[in-house]
Amino acid sequence: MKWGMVIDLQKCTGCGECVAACKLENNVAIVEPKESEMGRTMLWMDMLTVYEGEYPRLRVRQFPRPCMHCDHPPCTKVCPVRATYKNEEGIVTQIYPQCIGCRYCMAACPYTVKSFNWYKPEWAPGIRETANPDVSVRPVGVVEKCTFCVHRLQKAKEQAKSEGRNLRDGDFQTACAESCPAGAIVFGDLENTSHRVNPLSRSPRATRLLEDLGTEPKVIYLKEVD
Amino acid sequence: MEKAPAAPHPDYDLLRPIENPGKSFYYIVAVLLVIILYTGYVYIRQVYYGLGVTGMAQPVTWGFYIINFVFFIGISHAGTLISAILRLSKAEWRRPITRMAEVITAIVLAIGGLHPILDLGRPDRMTHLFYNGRLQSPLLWDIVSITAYFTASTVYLYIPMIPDIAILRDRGVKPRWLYEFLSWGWQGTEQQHKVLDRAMNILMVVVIPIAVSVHTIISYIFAMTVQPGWHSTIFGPYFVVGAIFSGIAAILVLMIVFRKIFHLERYLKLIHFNYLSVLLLVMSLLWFYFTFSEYLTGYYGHEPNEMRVFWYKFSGAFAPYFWTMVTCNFLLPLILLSNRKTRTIPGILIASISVIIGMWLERLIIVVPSLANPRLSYPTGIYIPSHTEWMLFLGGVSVFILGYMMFARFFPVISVWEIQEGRQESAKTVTERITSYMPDPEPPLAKG
Amino acid sequence: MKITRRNFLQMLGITGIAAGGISQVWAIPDQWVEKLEYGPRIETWKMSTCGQCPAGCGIRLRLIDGIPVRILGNPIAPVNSGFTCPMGEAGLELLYHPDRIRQPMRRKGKKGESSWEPISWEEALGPISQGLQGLLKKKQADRFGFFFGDRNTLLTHFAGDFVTRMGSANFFPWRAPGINELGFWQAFGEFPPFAFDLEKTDYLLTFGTNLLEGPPSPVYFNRLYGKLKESRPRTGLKMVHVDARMSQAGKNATEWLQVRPGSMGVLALGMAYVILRDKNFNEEFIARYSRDFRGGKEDFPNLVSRYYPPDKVSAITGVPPETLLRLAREFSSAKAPLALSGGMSDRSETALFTQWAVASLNALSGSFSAKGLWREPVPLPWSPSPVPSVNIRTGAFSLKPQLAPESDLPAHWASEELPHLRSAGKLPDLNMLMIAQVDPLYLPTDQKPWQEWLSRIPQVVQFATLIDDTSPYADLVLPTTTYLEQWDMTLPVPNLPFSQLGLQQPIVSPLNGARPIGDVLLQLATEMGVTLLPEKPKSYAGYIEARMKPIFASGKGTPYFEAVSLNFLGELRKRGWQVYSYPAFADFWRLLQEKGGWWDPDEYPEAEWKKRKKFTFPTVARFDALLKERALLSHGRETQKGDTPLHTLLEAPIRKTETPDSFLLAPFITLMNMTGEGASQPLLQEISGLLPRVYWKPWAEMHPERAKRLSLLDGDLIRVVSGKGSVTLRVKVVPTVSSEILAVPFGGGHKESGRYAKNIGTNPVALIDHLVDPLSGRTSWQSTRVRVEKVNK
Repeated sequence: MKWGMVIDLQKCTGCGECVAACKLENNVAIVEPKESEMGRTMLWMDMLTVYEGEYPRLRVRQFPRPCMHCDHPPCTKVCPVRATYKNEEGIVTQIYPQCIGCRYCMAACPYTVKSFNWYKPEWAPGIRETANPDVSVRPVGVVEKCTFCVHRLQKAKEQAKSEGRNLRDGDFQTACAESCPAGAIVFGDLENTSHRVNPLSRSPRATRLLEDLGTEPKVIYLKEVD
Repeated sequence: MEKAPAAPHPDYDLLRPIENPGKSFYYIVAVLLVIILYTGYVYIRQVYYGLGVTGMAQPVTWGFYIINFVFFIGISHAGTLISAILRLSKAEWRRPITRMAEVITAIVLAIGGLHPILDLGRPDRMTHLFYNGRLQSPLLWDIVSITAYFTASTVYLYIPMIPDIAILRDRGVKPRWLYEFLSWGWQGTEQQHKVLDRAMNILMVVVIPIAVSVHTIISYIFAMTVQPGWHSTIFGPYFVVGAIFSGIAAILVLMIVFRKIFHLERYLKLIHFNYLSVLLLVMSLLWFYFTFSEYLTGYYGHEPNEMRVFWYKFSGAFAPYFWTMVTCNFLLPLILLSNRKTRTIPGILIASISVIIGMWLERLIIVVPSLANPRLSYPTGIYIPSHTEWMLFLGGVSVFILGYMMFARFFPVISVWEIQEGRQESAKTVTERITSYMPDPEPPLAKG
Repeated sequence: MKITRRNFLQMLGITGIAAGGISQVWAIPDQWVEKLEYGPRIETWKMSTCGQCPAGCGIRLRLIDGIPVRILGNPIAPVNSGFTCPMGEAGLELLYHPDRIRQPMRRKGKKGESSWEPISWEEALGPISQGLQGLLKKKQADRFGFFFGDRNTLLTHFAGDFVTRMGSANFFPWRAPGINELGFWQAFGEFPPFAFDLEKTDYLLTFGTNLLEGPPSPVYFNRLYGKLKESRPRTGLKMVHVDARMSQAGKNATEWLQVRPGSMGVLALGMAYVILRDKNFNEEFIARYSRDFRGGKEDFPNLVSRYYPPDKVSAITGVPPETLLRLAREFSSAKAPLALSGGMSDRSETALFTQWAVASLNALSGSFSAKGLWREPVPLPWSPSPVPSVNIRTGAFSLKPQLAPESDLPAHWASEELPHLRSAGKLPDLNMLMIAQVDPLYLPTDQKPWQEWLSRIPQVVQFATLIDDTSPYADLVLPTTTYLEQWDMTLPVPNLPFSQLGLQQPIVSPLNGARPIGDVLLQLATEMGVTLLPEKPKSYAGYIEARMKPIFASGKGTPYFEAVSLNFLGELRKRGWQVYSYPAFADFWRLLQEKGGWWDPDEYPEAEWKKRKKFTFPTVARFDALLKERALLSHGRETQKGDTPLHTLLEAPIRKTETPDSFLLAPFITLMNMTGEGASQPLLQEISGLLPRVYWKPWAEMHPERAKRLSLLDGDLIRVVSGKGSVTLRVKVVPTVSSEILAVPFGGGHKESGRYAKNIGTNPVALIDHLVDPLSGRTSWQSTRVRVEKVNK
């Protein structure tokens, strides 16, 4: 099993819903204005923009950027305490109670996907109640990042088990894939031919970010053709 | 005030600071303590609130703490490594220098070694390094090598100090118990001298590879990632050269300071400064050579991400720091030290201070620009160190000064016995040695 | 010990930990321990309809032990098919906002001061009903007015009813007009505008219309754009976005065309020139369903050929003539071209001129003859609702059965102009004004007159969830419920080719102290002795239920259902099948609550032109007449100058920049923050600048060339100065704006609106000169010239 994501940039409209859904699903802290001006905004899912050419031939490429969940993750290699590691299903996870906050993994990540809890994440009392009970709230001083909504995998597995079957395509969806109005984000098992991501990942448009680094990301982008 | 011991000593100048510290010593200590206490408060505040009190953010997730870590550890190469090399190569002029250099190492290493802890988001979980440590992580290598280096260098500092401590003990300097305890029953017998010599010889040989490894491994923290500007094979030797470079500059500064304060002109002569500054000049050239190769390869490779960092340093936001660094580390020392007229004490002082500043800037320039220029299309990061970070830097420097003062308060900063030994024996041994270099006299012709 | 929720939870925690300890020894099942620690964690789902914007997306709430923790899209809601936009997601932050008011608040100080004294509901409602009664007694019902943010729900009708039954005509609804609304209304003289089906076009030309980041329904159109973009390489669909700023609509189009702000109508008429020259126009439609195309000297071709030749158009718009030619030819030779105008192009002094020109472009090209492209909204099986209108001669507002195009304008176009109508003596002095669902003091470009007007009204009553920018000018603020705590029904979304009714129902019981607006109005009406509801239900929920009865009785449509092939269902329904069976209204009503709403799977039929009034082309004479007729809206601005034709005066505001530091201010809206509605919610505040990567605060977008000339770097602080004021902003240097404009988003600079909005960022409205489109009464946001200064930190 190798969980992966295909993002079709030909479909993506850059609306940012994946970003909002991710923040809410994973209880990602909202950083106050002063802090965020320093660059401490926490986005597990981010939206990047690349400008190509000049007007009138200007093209703007926007692409959602989750964690790439590399098959050869540069971040797990350098972690001194095994607080980030690749599990047997290919998901690069973070163990918050283990992290000592050295931020070495952040420095090592070529995609700059990790966020750090510079302060204790705080919510107003009421808003705190809306936190997703399935995802732990991180303490101060640890690194966090996209987990491919691994908490949903647990649930999906339990569900499948209780129904006495294997996981099907769509049983386990990340919050971003589930919420993308344009249907640009597809999530599934890259090795399973019955999952939609499998044929998509072999599309001639398929490309990976910074492929030459040999990190073998499991997030695959389908290039825009016009 | 205790009264000065009666017995005059030929090297009383070296013992005076211990036996007669003077008032200003206490003033300075008080000032430093205030700074250090405040730094302590600032650090506790950081532990309480989190690293948010620093100026670090995404993507520049490492800042002053890592810079100062590399910088301090670099300075620490002053000592042990240099003194070991000088001792090993039997450079006779080393005698008044070695102790000073070794003390730098011991103190700075302790300070520098703590910096990664300052940098931790969760210092309370430090023990995880022992329970769950992954030896594959360069950070763990660091812990191992720094610990080894610290142990070796303190032992290497202490062992040659034993005869001097014995002198102090014998002169009845207070606190007596300290000297009695530390002198380890030294009586100066021949057997003891032999053992001391052997111990020093072993340590000398051991300490050199450890010292080289320490800074190599520190460079590995950076070089083992794939980040532009960091992922470089010459980083190991480059860091080692830089470390020795900054170390020599630090020794020079300290020598000049002590010479001035303790009136050690008789011991620290121009010739010592001359030799060391030539060494500094050589290191400056070597440093330039490494820097040049590092950036030239980067430039010719012309990898876009590499180039983003490159231009950030050469003409972007970090250009002022970069060119100041080149001036401080290369141009200024080159001009001042290659010219006999400016290779004077003030000239050397200026060059050394500029090298220390330059080397600190070099650490800044290595750590920040690579982080500030992520590979993907993120905006360039900004890093403005906060009050906390400046305070902890200042605190680190204060701890160093205080540590050095305390050392100088209790122990001679110039090895008394080695000077004596030099006086008594080195002329003879050097003559012998030089004679041994000479071509052997013609063998007597066989008769016959 | 008093058991509060908190220490109850603590106790649970302690027991849980104890149980956890014991479990080690006694092997107590883990699930039991978990339950003790965290409660039973029972997951339930509830359907409702989003109320963040008027689009009426179906939402599905996830509740854990009765506490809503997440808003997701309702997968069977037709408009959003299970998706939401960031604003929809953030709704819970509105519900649980820490600064929500929990008691009616009476202002303590003078008008304009935000200091409050909490009072009870009785204390609050007493003076209101006394005031109303006093007015009724004195037969001065006209001195009661209601400024109402129209969220496209039944509540608008209910509030309108409330006002008229009191005997007043002063119901002032406020909302953004739909796409094409201004132009089609002018051309066809009818209301509401047509719906269109984007999937049927092969050439989409959007004149400033940003369907992806604003009304009518961003979720619907983002989904559709995703589909269109994907199929684009195969179908050859061309999408051209015309605007000074390349918004998301421009980024997702195949081409972006820069024009000077306000000049889009000129561009459209320039295209018409080329089309007429090429004789490549839709003869059939023009001959049969239009007027003023051939009418001698003063016809449309005359207007176009006399005033809009390519070189002149090029000079006004900044579009090169060859581009203009290419665009016109591509458009006129497409099979099903579609030109849309609306969104920000509504907000210029040429709003109606532009939209009329664009409508004419559609009439000229094959657009109106293309199959299935234009759809005629089918009215719901209700008696027609009265239309709020404003008489352009007298300035009088009223609810009418139908608009009379000669003398009326839709009221929501001009309701931002209330203080001016008042000072022109066209409105009576109000004794009581109610304000609900809108923050009129945040957006208007003429804050002073608004403040003065509200200060003069003795009793201003505001319904609000948070103290907002308007509150300091209200005498009384009544805490109201959010859309997650109340009943309501969202109406079909304008411009979408099908009809739906989204049911809003209380997901949680209302916040202690807050009451739904509908129920408060009902209570007031009862006290007044005014009947509001046909069957006298006791609550607003009853009103909703009663309104659904005719729908049930008509047998049309169905509650939302799981997605199956639409065509298949249509076929089934024609044969009398129902998706659900609901023999009695009670079943229907239960299904509505369960599924979240009602819709009609049959899409709207194609627009039939012969049933309509004839399409009126703009002409020189017509512009002259309109300008004279609507003189009230031009604020005494000169509309006549010698013998220059009047419409050219409309072009006067199309300004050029002159000095290197001078720019045209082009405010825009973002999907996360709209025009400041999202600002109270921290999530939206944080990610409203997601794309330019500026968080929490508005920014200013500048073209790289201009930035270079001003030696500004990305991220520098600039002071933007207009004749009216100045604000400080961070500059973003991006190639997605034309070099003449400085684009600034709305949403920042609230003076109130809760802790996440208060005093965060700056409000571009502070810069904008108060200018009004003399043809529609819409406030212009686009023709203010500003100067930029670098701020040294």
